Amino acid sequence: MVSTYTVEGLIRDEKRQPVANLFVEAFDSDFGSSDDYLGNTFTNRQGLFKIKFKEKAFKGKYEILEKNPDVYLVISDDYGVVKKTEIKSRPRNGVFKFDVVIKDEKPFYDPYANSTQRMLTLFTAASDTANISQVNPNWTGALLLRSITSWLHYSDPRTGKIYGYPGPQVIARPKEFPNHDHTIPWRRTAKK
Amino acid sequence: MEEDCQEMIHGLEKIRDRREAYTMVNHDIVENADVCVIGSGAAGAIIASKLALEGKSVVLLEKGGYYDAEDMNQREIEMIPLLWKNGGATFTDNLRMLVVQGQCLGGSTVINDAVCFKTPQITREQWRQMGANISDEVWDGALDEVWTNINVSKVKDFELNENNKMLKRACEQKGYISSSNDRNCKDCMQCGFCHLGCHYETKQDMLVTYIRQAVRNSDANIRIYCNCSAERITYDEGVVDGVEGDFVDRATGSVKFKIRVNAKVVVVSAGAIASSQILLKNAIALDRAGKGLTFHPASFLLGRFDKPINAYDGIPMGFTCHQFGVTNGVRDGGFLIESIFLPILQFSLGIPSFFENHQLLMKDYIYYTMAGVMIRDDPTGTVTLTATGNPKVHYDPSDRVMKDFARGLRTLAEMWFDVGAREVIGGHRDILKLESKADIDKLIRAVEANPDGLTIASAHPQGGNRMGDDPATCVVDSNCQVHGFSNLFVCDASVFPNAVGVNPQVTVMALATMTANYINKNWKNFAKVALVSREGEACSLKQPMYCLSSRLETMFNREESRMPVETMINAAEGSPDAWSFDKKEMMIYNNSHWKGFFAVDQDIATMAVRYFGGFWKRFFIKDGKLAGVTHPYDAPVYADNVPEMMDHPRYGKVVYLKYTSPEFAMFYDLLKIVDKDTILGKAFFGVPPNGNQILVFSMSRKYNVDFMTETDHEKIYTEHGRAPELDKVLGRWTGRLVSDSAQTPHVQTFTYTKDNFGKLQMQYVFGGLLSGISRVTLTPEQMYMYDFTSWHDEVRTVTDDFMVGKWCSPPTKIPLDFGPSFLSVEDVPEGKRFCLRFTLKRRM
Repeated sequence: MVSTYTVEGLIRDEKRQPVANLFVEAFDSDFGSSDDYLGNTFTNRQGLFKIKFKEKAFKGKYEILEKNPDVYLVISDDYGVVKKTEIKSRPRNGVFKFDVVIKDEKPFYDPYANSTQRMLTLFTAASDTANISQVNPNWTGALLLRSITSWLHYSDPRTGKIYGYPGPQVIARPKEFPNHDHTIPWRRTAKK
Repeated sequence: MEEDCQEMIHGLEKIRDRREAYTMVNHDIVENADVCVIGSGAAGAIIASKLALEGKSVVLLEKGGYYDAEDMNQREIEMIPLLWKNGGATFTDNLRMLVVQGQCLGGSTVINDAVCFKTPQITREQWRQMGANISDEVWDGALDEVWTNINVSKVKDFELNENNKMLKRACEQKGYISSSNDRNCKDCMQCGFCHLGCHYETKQDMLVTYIRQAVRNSDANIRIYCNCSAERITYDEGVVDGVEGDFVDRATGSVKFKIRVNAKVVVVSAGAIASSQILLKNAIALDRAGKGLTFHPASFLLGRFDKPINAYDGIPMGFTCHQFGVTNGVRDGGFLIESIFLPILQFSLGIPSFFENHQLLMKDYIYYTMAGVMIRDDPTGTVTLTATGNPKVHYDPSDRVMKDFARGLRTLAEMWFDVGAREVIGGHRDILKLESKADIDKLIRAVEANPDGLTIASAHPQGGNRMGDDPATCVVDSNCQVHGFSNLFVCDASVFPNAVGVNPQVTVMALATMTANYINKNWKNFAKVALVSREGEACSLKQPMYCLSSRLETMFNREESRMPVETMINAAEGSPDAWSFDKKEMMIYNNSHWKGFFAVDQDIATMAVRYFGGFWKRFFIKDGKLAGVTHPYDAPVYADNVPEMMDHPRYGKVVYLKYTSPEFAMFYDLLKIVDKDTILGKAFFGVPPNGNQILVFSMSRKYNVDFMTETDHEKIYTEHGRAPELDKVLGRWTGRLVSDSAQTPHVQTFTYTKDNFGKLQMQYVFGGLLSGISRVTLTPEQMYMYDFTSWHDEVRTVTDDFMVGKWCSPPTKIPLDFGPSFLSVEDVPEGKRFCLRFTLKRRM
C-alpha cells in the first residue's frame, strides 16, 4: 500500500474545451460516517488539476478496514457545484485519474407545459389592474362566462374540425421532430 | 453558423435547438455597457441592434422569453401564454376593452399581422403642430430604411384569400378608396396564424431582422437578457447611471436572479403602457407620464355567406378600405376598415353570445367573412400604478369615437350585404344578428343607446409619454430624450402625441431609427458620462447580503481569508465615528458591531427569518487578547467568543470562533475576512474540524438602507430626518418594514394627495389588502398620520426620495422590555410605546 496518493485529471466542457478556474475538492466516501476531506485545488488553463494527500487523511484511528480511499470529486464554479463525480476506488500506483466532462444536465424546458398555470400567473397581474367600482357586473360576468366556455371548447384545436376548420398546420411539438415538413395541407394560393 | 456565434442571448429557459446561441442565466449579473435598452419590440430591437452594429456595447433587457420559429406550434392555448402580455388578459380598468400586446423577444412584432403603413402625412403635420419637430426629410429617410430592412412588400392579388377578396369587392362596388396591404413578410406561407408567431419564419419580425443581424455579427457587442423585468432606473440630478431588474420565472412569477446594468445611456422601449409604468415607478416625469393614451379601438362585423369562405385559410389582414381614414386625407378622427380573421379560440372569445346561440354561430365558422372598423381616437386614456406597481389603464371612448363607430359599422354592414351576405353578425350584445340592411339602423341605435354594449378591443396602444418640445406638458423631446435628463430616452409607441391613425409598427420603427441615429451622432456627448460601478441588488463578494446560500457556500469555499484577524475589531463603544450614513449612496456604515445576514433564498426557512432571528457579532480587545460576543436580536443573550486563526484542512486559513460559555460550547463558527468590511461565515455544531455545518452567512460593516436595523432607523430618524414639506411629499411611496433580521419585502404603499380644500391626505394600502385614508398633519418636527386605529404614524424626510417613519401605539405604563426584531419599544414621557418602523421610497 502506498502512503501518498494523488488525484489528478482533466476537466472539459461539452465542446471538449478545457475549463479553467474550477474549484475541485476531493473526498473519501465512507460508509456509516462522514466522508473524509482529502484536499482541494483549482484547475489551470489547460483544465488540469492535481491533489495530493496522505494515508492519514482518509484512514482514521478506528478505520481498520479502510484500505484504499474511495475517491470522488466535487467541482464548483463561482456560482455553485457543477458536478459530483462517480467514486473511484482503484488507484494505479497511488494515482486516481479523472477525465471529467461538465455537461449541463438539466432537462430541456418544455415551453408548452403548464400553460394553464402560466396563464393563471399572468392573470394575477392583470386582475390587480381592475377597478371594481367601475366594472359593469353584467358585462364582466358575461365576458368571464364566455372566456371559460371558449377556453373549454376551443383550446383543443380538434374541436374546430367539427365545423370544417382544419386547425394548426404544424405538429404539436415541432422541435422534437426536426424533420417535420412545412407544407400546408389546405389550399395555398399560388401565382398563376 | 450558430457554432461560430458568441452566446449573446441569455434567459431562464433551456429550450432545445435554438436558432441563435443561447445561455442559461443561473446567477445574478452585473453588466457594464454603453447603452441599456429596455424592451425588444419594434423600437428596442432596432435601437439596440443599430447601436451595437455602430460599435457601442449594448445590453438589451426583455421581460418575455425567447422563442424561435420552431417553437411556434400554432396552438392558441400554448402560444398565447408564451407570447402575449398577461396571457392576453390585459384590460382597461373597467374590463371594457381588451388590449393585446406581445411580451417575448421581438415584442408585438412577433404576434402582429405584419401590416405596414408609413406614417401618414397628415399625422406627421399634426404631430409637428403638437411640438414633435421631425422634418419630412427625416421621416422619409427613417421610413425608407425600415421599409428595406424588414422587407416590406405589397400583398399580391393571388395572395388575397376569399375574405380579403370579399372586402375588396365590397369596396369596389361602393367606389371606396382601398388597397391591398403592405406587409413585412417574405414568401408568406399564408397559414393564417400570424397572432401566434410565424412558424415558417417568413414574417420579418424583429427576431429575424434586426435582432438576428446584431447577434450574428461577431463585431457587434450586444448581450440580450430575456425573462428579465426592468424594475429600477437609477439616476441623480437628471443623469441616469443604470438599470436594475429581476429575472422572473414565468411559471410561478418568482424572482430567480437580479441584474444591474451600469450604462451611459438608457433607452426605455417597453411599449405603450409598460414604458409609462416604468417611468412612474421610478418617479420620472411624474406629472406627465401616463397621460394621453390612445388605442385605435376596433370592433368587427362578420358576414355570413352561403358558400364556405374559409377565411382562416390565408393572410388574415391583406386588404384595407381607406375611404374614411387618415390615409385618405381625413384630418380629425375617422376610421379604417381592415380585413381580419382569427383562429378559432380567439374567434370564439370575440363573439358576444352564449350557450346555444354561440354554438350555432360557431358551427358556421368557415362561412364567415370578417373585417374590423379601427377608429383613430383621441388621447384620453391614462396609465396609473396600482398599489403593487402594476399599470392601471383607464379609457372611456369619447362621443366622437362612438359616432365614428356607428358610421363605420353602418358602412361595413352595408358592404357585407352588398356582396351577398345572408346575415351580418356584430359585436353589440343587444343586437347580435342583422338579417337585412333594414336591421342596420337597429345596430346603430344600439350603439348610440348603449355604447358600453359594443365589443371593442385594441392591438395598438399608443401615447402616455408624449413627444413634444414643451417640457411642461411633454415627457420626451423630438429626439425621444426625456425632458430634464441628459441621457435617458423613451422610444416606442408611447411617445406618439396622438393616434397615428394606421397600424403603428412602422412608425415606431422609424422613430427608433431616428433615435439610434441621434444617439450615434451625438455619442461624444454621451461618452463623457462616467460609468458608475454599482452592483444594485446583485450578489457579489462586496455585498454578500444579496446572495443565495449556494453562492455564499461557494464563495466561502473558494475565497481566502485575506485580512489579519485584528481587522475584525470594532470601534470602541460610544465612539463617535462608529456609525455614519451616506445619503447619496444610501449606505450605512456601522462599526459598532458586524451585522449578520442570512442568505436570500426563497425557501420557507429563509423567509421565516425575515422578521426574527437576526444577529450581530462584536469584536474587541479584552485583557490584551482578542475577544468577541454574539448577540441574537430577539433574545437577551450575549454569548462570549474567542477568535483564533486556524489552518483548516478543507477551508484553509480561517478564523475559528469558539463559544466559551458552557451552554453554547457545542457550537463554533468559521470565518473568512474577505475585505476590511466583509466577512463570510459558516456555523457548525460539534468539534472542529469535523463539526456538522448548520448554516452559511455573511457579516458586514457596510450595508444598504434596505437592510437597516431598528437602531439604524432611530439614528437616521433623529440625526438625518426633518419634517416633510407638503409639496415634496405628494405622490406615491412604497415601503418596507424595518427588521433587525433581514431585508423585508415591499409591503405598503402610501399615496399623498391634496384634498378638495388643499389639505394633505394619504391613501394607504398595506399588504395589497388593507387600504384606507389617513388624515395628515405637518408639524415643524415631523409629519403625523392618523387612521381609524388608536395607533398613529410619525414620518420624517431624509432625502427627496426617501423617508423614514414609525407606526406607534398609545403610551402605556406597562413595562415593556423588548420586542421581536420588527417591533421596537420606545420611552416617551407618558410611559412606553410599541413602534413598527418602516422606510418609504418614492422610487420602487
